[in-house]
Amino acid sequence: MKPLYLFSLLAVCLLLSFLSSLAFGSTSLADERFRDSILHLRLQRTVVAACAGAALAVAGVLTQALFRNPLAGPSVIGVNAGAALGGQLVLLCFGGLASVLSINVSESLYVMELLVPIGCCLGAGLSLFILLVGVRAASHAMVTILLIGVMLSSLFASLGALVTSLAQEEWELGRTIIYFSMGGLEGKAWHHVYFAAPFVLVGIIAAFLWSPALNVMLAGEDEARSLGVPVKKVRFWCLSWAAILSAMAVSIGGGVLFVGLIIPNVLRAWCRSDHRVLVPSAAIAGAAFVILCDVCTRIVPSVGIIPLGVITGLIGAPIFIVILIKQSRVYN
Amino acid sequence: MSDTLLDVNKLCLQIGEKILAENISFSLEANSRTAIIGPNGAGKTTLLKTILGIQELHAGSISVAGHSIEHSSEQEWAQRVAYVPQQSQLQFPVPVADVIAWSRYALRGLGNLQQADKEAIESVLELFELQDLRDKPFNQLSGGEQRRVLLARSAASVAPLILLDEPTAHLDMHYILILQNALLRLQEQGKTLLMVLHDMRDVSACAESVLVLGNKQLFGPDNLDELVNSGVVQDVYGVSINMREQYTFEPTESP
Repeated sequence: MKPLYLFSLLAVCLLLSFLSSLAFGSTSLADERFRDSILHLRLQRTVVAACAGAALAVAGVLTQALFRNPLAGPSVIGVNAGAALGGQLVLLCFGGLASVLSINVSESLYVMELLVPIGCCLGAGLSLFILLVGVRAASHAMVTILLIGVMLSSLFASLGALVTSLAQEEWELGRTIIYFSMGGLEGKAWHHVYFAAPFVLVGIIAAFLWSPALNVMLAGEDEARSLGVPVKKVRFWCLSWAAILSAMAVSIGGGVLFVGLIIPNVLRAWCRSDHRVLVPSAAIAGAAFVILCDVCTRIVPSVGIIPLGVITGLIGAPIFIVILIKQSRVYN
Repeated sequence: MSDTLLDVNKLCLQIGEKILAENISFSLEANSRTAIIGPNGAGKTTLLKTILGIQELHAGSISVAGHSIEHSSEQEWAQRVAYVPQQSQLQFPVPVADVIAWSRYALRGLGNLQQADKEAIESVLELFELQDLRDKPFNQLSGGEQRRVLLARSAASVAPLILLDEPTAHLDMHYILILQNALLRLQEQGKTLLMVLHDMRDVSACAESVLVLGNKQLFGPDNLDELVNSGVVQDVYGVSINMREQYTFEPTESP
């Protein structure tokens, strides 16, 4: 498909998802007294969803190109789990402090919401630091980097589970941490956008600028080096940007699954694996996908709030299986 | 007398702590075809990778057209040396024309292709008769077709020196003839070829001179017959060599 057609199609999808996010929700827009307030709340939430989706999808493109593996996603470098652990630790510490000082957690949510993204960034930063130290120690072997990433993911996920179990002493805190881990955009506001959007925007631009090098990196590191690509430099910056984008997505959306895995794979065939087309396409498609999934969390009848991560997983897993079956012919 | 293009001086070939060969010195004339032969593990691929800059330079010096590898960036070095791997690691469905276009990364880096680049790509697509395959995903081509695309990519690069790692490996007779033809075309374009080969028939058909790597030393470049007659080839392989009349193959139509 020609890039212009693809961008137009995706832009229409994004626009439709944006409008549906404003139009649909648990509260009706029929009452004029509340309409403006509801629309304002939904607009904030929609923009946060778009930021998280675009960040995860582009992080997925970067990791798949670096590892030359369509099954790679931001989670394979351990940064998602690191960011999630950072957020969980902030929630646990804040909850513990609130308990000691006899502060009601639900009354100080605003402070907590500001601290969680910082915790996510610190967690992601720690994870990236360990990964980069490992890269140097392992003489830059890509398989070793991948294995270190997977191990870090498991390590941070285990620590996250420990934090979650410790938090169960306090019912309110335990519920908050579980909700954060499963991902959700409930109560997200402009301050989340102000925090994450600049990083997401710069990350997407950086990924786009590295696109020609990422294209050549698909041929393997030795071949890319022989074609003139400064492999170590590309790997360092692309891993760093993938980590920053993942951290931003987790800090504003929590544990949202599958976006970084399926969006690049859905688009790859239409983009002919050209990252100059794939990066912007993934940003638009990722934003539209997470907005639509967020709409689902609001309109699907349920006893409580359905976490965003559950919806992205429920939709993403079957789509991914279909893609795998279709593409197995292409890759074989 | 031709100009010297590649100059390798007192090179040490090493993988980790293991030294494969020491004091490797040789030079190649511009627009020549040279084969490197030697037993498995002698360091042939390591030599290619060291010249490419993929393998760390432990000792000695390498220069192409007077430019030293130590004072060149990756992009500058790729403008001097191109590489045709035995097999590409590319698993994604990238069109053949795009794979060939990567050859211009050395010139353009992160910038867009220019008219001259597009003309160079079109020219090699035509020269290597790849027009019909230009939009086909590289990973869906046969081994022989992939090899032809990789050769075309090296032809589209501006590098005067092309290193080839076992270009005839796993090819049938038909594709070996196509490959031999392609190598001649590369030489006609003014390229200098240095290739690792295993089969002596390929060596005599593809190369004008031969380097022998073995027993931690390098012999040549010299004529293959000279190297056999002087016993160098027999020594490094540890075998005796007898010349016998053998089957030969010719194209039934132009490959």
